Amino acid sequence: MAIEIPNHIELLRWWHRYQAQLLNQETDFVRNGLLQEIIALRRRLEVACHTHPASQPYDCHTQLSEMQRLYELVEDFCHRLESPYQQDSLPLALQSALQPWVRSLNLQTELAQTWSVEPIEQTRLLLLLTKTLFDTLSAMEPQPTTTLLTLVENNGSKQLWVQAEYEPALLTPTFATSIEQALQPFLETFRLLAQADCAPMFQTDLFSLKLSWRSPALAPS
Amino acid sequence: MTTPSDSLKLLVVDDHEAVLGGTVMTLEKAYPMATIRTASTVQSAQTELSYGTPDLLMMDLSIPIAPGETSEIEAGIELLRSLLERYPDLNIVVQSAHVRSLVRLKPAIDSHQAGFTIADKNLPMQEMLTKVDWALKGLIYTPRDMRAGIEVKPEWLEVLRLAFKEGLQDKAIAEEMNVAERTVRHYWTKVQDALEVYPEAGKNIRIQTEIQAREEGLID
Repeated sequence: MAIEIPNHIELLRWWHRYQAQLLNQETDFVRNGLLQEIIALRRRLEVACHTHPASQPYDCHTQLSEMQRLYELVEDFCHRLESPYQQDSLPLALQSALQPWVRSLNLQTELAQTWSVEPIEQTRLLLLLTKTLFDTLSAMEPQPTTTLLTLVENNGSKQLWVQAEYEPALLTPTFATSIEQALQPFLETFRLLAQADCAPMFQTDLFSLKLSWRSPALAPS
Repeated sequence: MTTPSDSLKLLVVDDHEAVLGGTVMTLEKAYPMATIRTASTVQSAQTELSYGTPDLLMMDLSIPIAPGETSEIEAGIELLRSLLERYPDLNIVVQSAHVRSLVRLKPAIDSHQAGFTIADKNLPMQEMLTKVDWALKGLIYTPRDMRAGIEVKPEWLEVLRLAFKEGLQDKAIAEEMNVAERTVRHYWTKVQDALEVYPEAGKNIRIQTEIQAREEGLID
């Protein structure tokens, strides 16, 4: 059997897509199984407590709170497996995934209200990339005074732009090296998969990262 | 207008037997005189609907197409897409652990003429019943995280302008905009959902809408 020499970029794309689909299946499995069982238990408990609140052998409020906590733990696990909206909308997926940094990084977002279809492996990679970036920024000193994430699409041309502003003259070469080390594998992979331009920029009071790419149907072959 | 609860007809679609049982039990407590039918697949839901349109349909998204098949979100989404097309007057509550997938149907939901609310399955019983009540009243409710910022359409802004700057009532607004009064009421529910203004005991929803519209800069 002759084995063709693979197109390495296509192989890499397949692998990332396969991983994204696998995690989607696992997430659905948990949502359709464990979460449904918790919901059913909770409804039965709610009805029983509502109907005969005094005759229950347990404290209804405590039991319902425990059930709620269990549900939230499992749901949080689902979100770790697959970010909300990952299958459907990059702007909404970003809006949801970046909530933990809104306060700590003084993060503001300007997100497109509509978005053309994005390959699932690219959406996942962009989410991982931005989460890693914000994790890194929030773990380092100094902290930005403001952070802005902009996502725009114009005639199939897409751009994700992150700007973190700092007090004047605070950023050092070490800072730039740390950011570059954290982001480089993601940027290289995204550059390959999306044929994207990735432009990080460091000044003494500003870090900026601009990613530009085209919709798949419009990207040069 | 809400149908009197003694003649309500409800259809609940869920493939998980225990969840379906819990939902029906909850609805029976809240609407003791209602007729509640159930379905567990896309096919059985369609069959039930062929017998007559209920006052409200409450459905899960992850359901199988036919008995014995695997539950899939796509099946629920496609059923809902066809219901939104075929039954513009049907009040719908989506109760699911997959509510975010509804973003795929956002344009169809935006143009639906009847009540449409979304209830995460994790909602406490009372909140779930509130979503049922709102849908029966023809209101729209979609979770905030399904929107990237406030989305408003020009016709909704025109309703706000005519009501709060010109002081017109719905009938006069309808004449001014050359649409049916019912359409104006539909615009109100849409703009109220966009502004996240929902019925609250003791509060006038139109005044709440005006306050919120001014805060968001939709009217001066």
